[in-house]
Amino acid sequence: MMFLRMTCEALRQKLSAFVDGELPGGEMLRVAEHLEVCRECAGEVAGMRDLGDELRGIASSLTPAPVLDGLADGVVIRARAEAAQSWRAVFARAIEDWHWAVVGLGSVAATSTTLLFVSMILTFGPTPPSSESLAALMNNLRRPAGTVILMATPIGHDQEATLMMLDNGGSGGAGQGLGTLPPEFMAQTDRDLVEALTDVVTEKGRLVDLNAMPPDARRYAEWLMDEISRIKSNGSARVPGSVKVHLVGLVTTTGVTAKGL
Amino acid sequence: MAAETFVKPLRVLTWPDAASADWALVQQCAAGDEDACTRLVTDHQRMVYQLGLHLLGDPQEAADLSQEVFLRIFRTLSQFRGQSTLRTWIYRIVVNQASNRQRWWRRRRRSQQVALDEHTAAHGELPESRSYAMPDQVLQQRETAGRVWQALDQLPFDQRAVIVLREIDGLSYEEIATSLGVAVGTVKSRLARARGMLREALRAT
Repeated sequence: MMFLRMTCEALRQKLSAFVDGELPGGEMLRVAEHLEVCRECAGEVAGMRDLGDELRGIASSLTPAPVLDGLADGVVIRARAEAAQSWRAVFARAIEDWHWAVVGLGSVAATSTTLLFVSMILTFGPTPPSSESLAALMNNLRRPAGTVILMATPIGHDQEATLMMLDNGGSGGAGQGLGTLPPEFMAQTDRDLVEALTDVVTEKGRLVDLNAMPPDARRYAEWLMDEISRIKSNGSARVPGSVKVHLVGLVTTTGVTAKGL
Repeated sequence: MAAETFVKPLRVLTWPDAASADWALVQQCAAGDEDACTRLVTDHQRMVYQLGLHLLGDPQEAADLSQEVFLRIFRTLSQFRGQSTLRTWIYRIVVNQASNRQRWWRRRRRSQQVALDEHTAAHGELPESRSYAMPDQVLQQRETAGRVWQALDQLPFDQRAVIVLREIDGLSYEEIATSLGVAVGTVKSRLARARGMLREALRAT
């Protein structure tokens, strides 16, 4: 009895597969032998078979065939409509007219190229500081505005036209750069010239030997002396600042700041 | 002199023949042959509808499901590689679609669900009962059918699918496993559990 009970417990799990004929041959035989001597398991198997019969009986009586009428036609029509709307169908219709395809491809290519170009510039190109930023403002103030080119001849001189360059850059005003003017356009009276000569040839209240002066300063001092002599001998002085201007030009400078500098 | 035995070779439809016929039909459908599509639907519509009806328990739902299943089949024909039979492949689609549909249906329409006897009252008598059975037998059959259907409806979908495929559609364990995308061992255990629960439910009613 104990052996039978244990066998029941072990075989109970296999009864379902036995009913379906899905057990291997040996096991089918063992279960069949067990069912001959075990009414409980045999009843279980019979109950499963009855259940299957009931299900099949009910199922077979539940099929209202008219529901299926027209199903095939409806499905095929819907499938055809879906296929007509699929991207393949749309694409097939598009390539029937090649010029639209070419236009489309050209547009896509142009857009792609432009996007690529702009992306490369934005990625790898310099990034100028914004014109509204404080750094840009300081940079512009620090930068020289440009160089004034002045071609003029002192009035009363029959010399050739003299090219003068006035650097108006830096932080000073417009007149500050006049110090770079040649001396002939500076002080024009004999008094001014004497004062200028005094400044050149004296240093801390003592006279400086001309031979010990730098060449430019010596040439300037010699020129001052010549002018003083000429004015004294002529008895007249030129009108200060009288020049004949031939050409005025401005060369502006533009600064370019590289990215990251 | 020994009598000679002549055996006339018979043309038997073998498994490879059926598979190649399915494959040819699928290829024709994929190529856009509408006659082949119609043939595919008519060959399998009853099977699809019945399985849908047994899984969902509602004729209208089963009819809608059938249409969805065949549309799904035509959309995914290119995915059929012939690794299983066309029938098993279709079963799998039906079960998946029914599973999706019943999830929604159970949530939204549980309260509107009607018992089988109410349904048959509305949609007509059972054909066999109407033709041959006596009134008391008809009543008994209807009551039995109602009880069984109610018990079946109470099963989880996985178990209901397994028992329907086995008992009603007669699929082998291997075919069921392929249709449900599970292992044969899982089919075995689910089926045993489903039978136990179904019998328990029927005993209780």
